[in-house]
Amino acid sequence: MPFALSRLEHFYAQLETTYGQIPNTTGTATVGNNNFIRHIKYSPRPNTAIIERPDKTGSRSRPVGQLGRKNASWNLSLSAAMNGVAGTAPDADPLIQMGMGQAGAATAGTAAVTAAPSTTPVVATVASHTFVVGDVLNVTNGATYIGTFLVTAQDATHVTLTGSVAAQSTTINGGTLSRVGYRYKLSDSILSGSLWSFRTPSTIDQRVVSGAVCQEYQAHIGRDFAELMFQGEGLWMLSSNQYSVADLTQKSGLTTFPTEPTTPVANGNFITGFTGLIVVNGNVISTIQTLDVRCGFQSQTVRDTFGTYYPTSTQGDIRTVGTSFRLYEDDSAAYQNLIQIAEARTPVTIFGVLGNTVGNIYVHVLNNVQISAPDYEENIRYVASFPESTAHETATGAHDELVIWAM
Amino acid sequence: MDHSAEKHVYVGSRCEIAGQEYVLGSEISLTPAQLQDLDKARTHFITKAEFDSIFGPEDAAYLSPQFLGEWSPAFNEKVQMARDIVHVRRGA
Repeated sequence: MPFALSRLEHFYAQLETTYGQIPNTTGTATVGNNNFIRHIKYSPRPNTAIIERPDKTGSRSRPVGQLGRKNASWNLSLSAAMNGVAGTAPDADPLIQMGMGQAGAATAGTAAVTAAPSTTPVVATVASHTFVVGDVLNVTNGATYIGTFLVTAQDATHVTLTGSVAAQSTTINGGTLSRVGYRYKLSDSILSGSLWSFRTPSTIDQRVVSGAVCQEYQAHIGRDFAELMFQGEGLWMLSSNQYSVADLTQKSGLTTFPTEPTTPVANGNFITGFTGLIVVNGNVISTIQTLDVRCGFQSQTVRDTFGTYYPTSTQGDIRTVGTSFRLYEDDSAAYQNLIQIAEARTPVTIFGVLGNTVGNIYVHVLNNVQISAPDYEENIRYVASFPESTAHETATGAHDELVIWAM
Repeated sequence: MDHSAEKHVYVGSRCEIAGQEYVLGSEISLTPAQLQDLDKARTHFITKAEFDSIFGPEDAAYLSPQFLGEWSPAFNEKVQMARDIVHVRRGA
């Protein structure tokens, strides 16, 4: 009897067009090579409740229960990897869509820099451009990557590159500003997906969570590799060896359990987790040790529908987007400003760039973050540990407390 | 063997197809259907003829898997041209 080695697993994700219906063509699953996503660990599980009759029995011992409601839960971690080519969606696209609530969009537009005076931040002069405040731009000079910066002001011929410093002005001058990337914005819609785990040997249970929604997303920045984590609920976890006894809801539209696609495709390389840029309130924070972005999307399944054991649709509560970070204390103006805004709870923008290779850069823009005052820790150096601080939209309905860019 | 397969070259930064790694300049024979599948998977392959019309012997050093340095602006421009072929083919 063969073992199932945990390294021998492939993960695939697909968006559903109808909640709880695994994408299929007349019952045959459409999961394909292009749905493959390299991952670290995927933990799906089916949940079945037991309902105990509450009436007194005249005994202190428990009576046998009856089967209650059924659903699934899942948890996935993967290293952050973009497509490798800017302007193209990363492999993790369906997962990010499930979190953000809508599809991302390719962004375009470049402009040549004709002058860049030595100021912090650098204000680049261009002949013309289409950039707006809030855009994220890669700046290159020839094949040299200069940095990824946030546009915080602009007029017809000038673009303010927040995150850049005066010392970079000489290389920005003569370079190119590029918005070629892929951008994800939040929406109040809720997208569901089917999340597959194919293992070896193929005779062992192959698994799929149907009707999966993303409750939480985390990005861990500052370690050797940047790790992303997604978790949520689902309708059910269907497994290949239980398919023959599964009911119609569990089969989620399938007429047979598929075999794994033969030539899974993965794009891009993983991002070295300590490369990039962290900017808080316009100040580059170079002493950051770790920064975690945590999004409680609060997308849920509806699990209390009368007449069925299973979740029937989705619902969503108020989302919480936040960040926590640790950095070394120092006497810089940037650190002093950080403490001031934390003590005043002033809403500020946090701009986190991960990576340093065009096509493999992952950016979180968190707006109106009201940073909490830090806890102080003593390691070899003094460390200021800023606890979970929440981001807020800039105007009602703007849904812009978090914008994600793949650059 | 599918005789409609044509030699293609990868012009992205890295991809993995069925566990086999491809880097900029890697060659593979693809049928039109396979190419379409790889397009759907967001990879960047162009035909060898298209590749040869853009890159020349002067780019050999950059296309070596051992190359770790910085691209010249001219080579960078060629890579962008090659990737634009993929974007145009996809109608993007």
